Amino acid sequence: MEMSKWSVMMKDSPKMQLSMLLLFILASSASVYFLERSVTAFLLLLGSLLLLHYTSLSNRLKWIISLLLLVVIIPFATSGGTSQQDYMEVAVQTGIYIAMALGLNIVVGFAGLLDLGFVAFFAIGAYTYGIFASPQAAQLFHSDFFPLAGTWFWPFIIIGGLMAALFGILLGIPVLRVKGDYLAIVTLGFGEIIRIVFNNMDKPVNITNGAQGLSQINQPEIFGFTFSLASQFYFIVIAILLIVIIAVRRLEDSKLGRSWKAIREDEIAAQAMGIPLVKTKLWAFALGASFSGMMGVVFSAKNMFVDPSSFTLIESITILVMVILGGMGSVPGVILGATIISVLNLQILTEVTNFLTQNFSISDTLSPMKMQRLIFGVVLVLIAIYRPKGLITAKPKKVDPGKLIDQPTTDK
Amino acid sequence: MSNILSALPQVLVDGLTLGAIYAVVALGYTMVYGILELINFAHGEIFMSGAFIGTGLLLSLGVFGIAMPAWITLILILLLTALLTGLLGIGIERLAYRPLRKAPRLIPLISAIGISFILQDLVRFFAEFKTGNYIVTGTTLFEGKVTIPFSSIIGTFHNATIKNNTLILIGITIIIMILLDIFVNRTKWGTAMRAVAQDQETAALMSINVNKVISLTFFIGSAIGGATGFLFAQQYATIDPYIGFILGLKAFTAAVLGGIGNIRGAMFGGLILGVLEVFAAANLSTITGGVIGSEYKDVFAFTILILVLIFKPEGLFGKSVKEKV
Amino acid sequence: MSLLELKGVTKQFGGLTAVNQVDAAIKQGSITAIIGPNGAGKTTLFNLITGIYKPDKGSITLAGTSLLNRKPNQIAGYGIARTFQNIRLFKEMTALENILVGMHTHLHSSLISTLLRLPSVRKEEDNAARHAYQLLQTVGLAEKCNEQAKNLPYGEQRRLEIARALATKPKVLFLDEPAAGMNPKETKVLTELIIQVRDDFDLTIILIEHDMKLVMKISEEIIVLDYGQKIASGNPDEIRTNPRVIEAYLGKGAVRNGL
Repeated sequence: MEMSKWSVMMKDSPKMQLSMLLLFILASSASVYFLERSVTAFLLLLGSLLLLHYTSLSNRLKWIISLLLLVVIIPFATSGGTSQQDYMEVAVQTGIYIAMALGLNIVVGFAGLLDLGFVAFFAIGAYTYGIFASPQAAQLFHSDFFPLAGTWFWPFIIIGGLMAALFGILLGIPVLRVKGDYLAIVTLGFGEIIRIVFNNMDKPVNITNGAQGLSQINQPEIFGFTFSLASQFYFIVIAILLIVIIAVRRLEDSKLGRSWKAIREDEIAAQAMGIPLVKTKLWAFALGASFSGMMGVVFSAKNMFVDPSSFTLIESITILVMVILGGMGSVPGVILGATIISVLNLQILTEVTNFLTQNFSISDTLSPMKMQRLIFGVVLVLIAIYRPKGLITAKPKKVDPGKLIDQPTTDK
Repeated sequence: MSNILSALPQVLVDGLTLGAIYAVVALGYTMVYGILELINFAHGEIFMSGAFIGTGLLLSLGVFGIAMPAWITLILILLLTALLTGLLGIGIERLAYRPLRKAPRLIPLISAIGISFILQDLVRFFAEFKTGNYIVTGTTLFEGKVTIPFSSIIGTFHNATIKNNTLILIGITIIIMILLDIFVNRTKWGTAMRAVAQDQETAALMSINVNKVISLTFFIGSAIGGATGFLFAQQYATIDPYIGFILGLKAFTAAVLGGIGNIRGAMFGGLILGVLEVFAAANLSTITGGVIGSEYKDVFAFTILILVLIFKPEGLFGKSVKEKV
Repeated sequence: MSLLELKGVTKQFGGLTAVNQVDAAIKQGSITAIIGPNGAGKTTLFNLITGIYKPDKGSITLAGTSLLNRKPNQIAGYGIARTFQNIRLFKEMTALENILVGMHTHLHSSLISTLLRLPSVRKEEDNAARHAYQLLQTVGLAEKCNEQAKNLPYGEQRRLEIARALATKPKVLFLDEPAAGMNPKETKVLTELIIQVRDDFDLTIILIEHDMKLVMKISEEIIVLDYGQKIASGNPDEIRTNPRVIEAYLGKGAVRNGL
């Protein structure tokens, strides 16, 4: 009785929710700040974003609080101990994955096209910056103009996105004529082709430096300041991520977004409504790819190194798992899915492995870190069977009929 | 050019060997697709599991010091592997596909990818647990090789050598294909299978047990895929948990090439793809003047897949199907 | 002058001639019914006109413009809209969103302006939503505007499909068995709706229907197909008494009310 009364009170009062949320944020950020490397505290702090999603606060307030959390509270709270860079490393990687998952969500979630080679576009972005910002370009073009300085990083975010979009279109033109399930196989094949090509383009002309990869890639630079630490890259990633989220939100309920969903639901009916199939699908490929491409540029600048081994099929599947787990077509869902899987990959599995090896001296074979495939497999099967719409189901946009009536009508 | 020609006999032999494997694995894809319109992504992994189960059985025979004539061992292991992988196939269908028959098309595909990953990791786990390494090298049942004197037929040809294992592989895969063809076209259960593939609802009305037929399809497809996995392990000696993936993709290509759902088409598709791939691996470098080498052979196979899907999606031997509006 | 003209339209599937040398001239503003036994080629004829299939022979013109070798979306752009025999709504989308998809060709916001959410985009979207709501009112589904299409009852789904087709601002509206599965009361409402939209939206309507009461009541012209061929055409009275029509129906044992 007590509990239910309480929960009713919570449900009805945004003020109550807000104060509880702030309390929660305060407690979890304080623990992150004062505790020495506590994964639990960090997860709780991230969890406050999820809580925020479920409150009934106004959209504007939600935006303000999440911005505060991401830009001020999280960077500050993690700066307390010695593990700031570890936390920020996780946050940066998670941000990169979220952007990619949101890109894939356009293709799989909105347009209903199963793309199993999505990481190829990430690779395109990474190599676009990697080649020109490393000694590779100097060798390739025999010019002292290269490698480009770190200040070029900023325009290259756009260029990387555009290159990926261009490749999305180039791949899409033949691939999107293929029907239904075959698309999955063909994109999978293309993903592998791109990797093999990057792996072997050190001859006859050395473009990608083959399996050795590209090293000494310049770090971003602005007004003489060089970005080198994870805690600095964090702000770049957050900025791009915010742009991506706003873009996806705006696309979702636009003419193009509705066309994607219409194609997903029924291609023939969509065509009968005047929607051109191939063109609309190409837009999905191009826009989805561009998010990945932008983050590819960040990835290569941060690691100062790229090689083909970062772009294997398992990466494509990882991004797919994020989308499926979170909820195909659901923007908050995909963000949640990407966060869960990244944190699982980067922190929880490592922690559990360390814990097990230290306390039980288990063999390396059993190490949870190696069981990524098993975990992904189980997640995919369970979600497919029990929760095909993911953790946060995509909700169609509701309108207020009161605002749609021009004048007093005589309906009915 | 003369190099290409003189190496042709060996290319053909190697190509047909690889092609025979593709063909049998392609059968599994094509049968399931024919009946459920589902790309059974896990089929490549069933093939891989077969390779490990068979090799595991063979190695444990050695451990227990059981000695039998090689051909008895071979048949025994093939049958056991087929039985186990067949059951594995039935289990996968029950667990991961049957609950999703009414779901939107994307969902069973996702489940299939999931199963594929689960199998890869389980096999890796067992292999590492038992041998300490996920790459396993088995023992060979049949040593020795035969030389076919092509040069005495036409002077420009070089001779081709065939391992005894290869002869067995080709022989057994041909037997499998003939038996399957007879089964599907001449027996009651084969007819039921074709009926379900044509129209599930009508078949059910004709008092065909659709679920049973689907289970049977999975059993047969998986059993022959798994048995072929063991033959593959014998042929190429080294196996790892990830061999099924690319091979499965290529076998699927073969199935599409032959017209998906078409059993004879899959056999021809497999053989054609195998020969083309080995030919490409041997000669891409010569043909392109060294620009593109044999490392592009997978790219070559995928390119075929994509070209077929774009220009002739019904395959070489299939009929085009129009969606009902 | 006729708005839509078919000359010698023929389509074969394998050995089967689904539509055989069909001629027709549909007058602007008319309601025409296409009837015939199951498998007579009625829906195939719709699919040929709307571009889902390509005819093997013959010509199809809308107000003098040929519709041959055009994709379905281009044909929709010329002013031909349709509903489907087996209802093809966008199931996960709301009723209002379904209508908005129908308005696709009449919305012009560019991608860049959408991403920047310029005032022009917002204005266009607002107007579109208002217009969509009006269309829902027309078919009596206004209060269902936020319902997902899959959750609507059958009769309402059929009406939503009509509203969605109207959203494309068509010249010609094709209805494929609009009354299928409806009870007599629903059919009566539908009959009135069809006549009303023809008048309000200045439409030419062509429908396939098995409900002879509905057909006889609203059509000015009836075309009868059997085995892919046009065996008769004329006004309801002429069709009612045409011996070939009676044979086509009774000969197959398919007795229907009204005949």
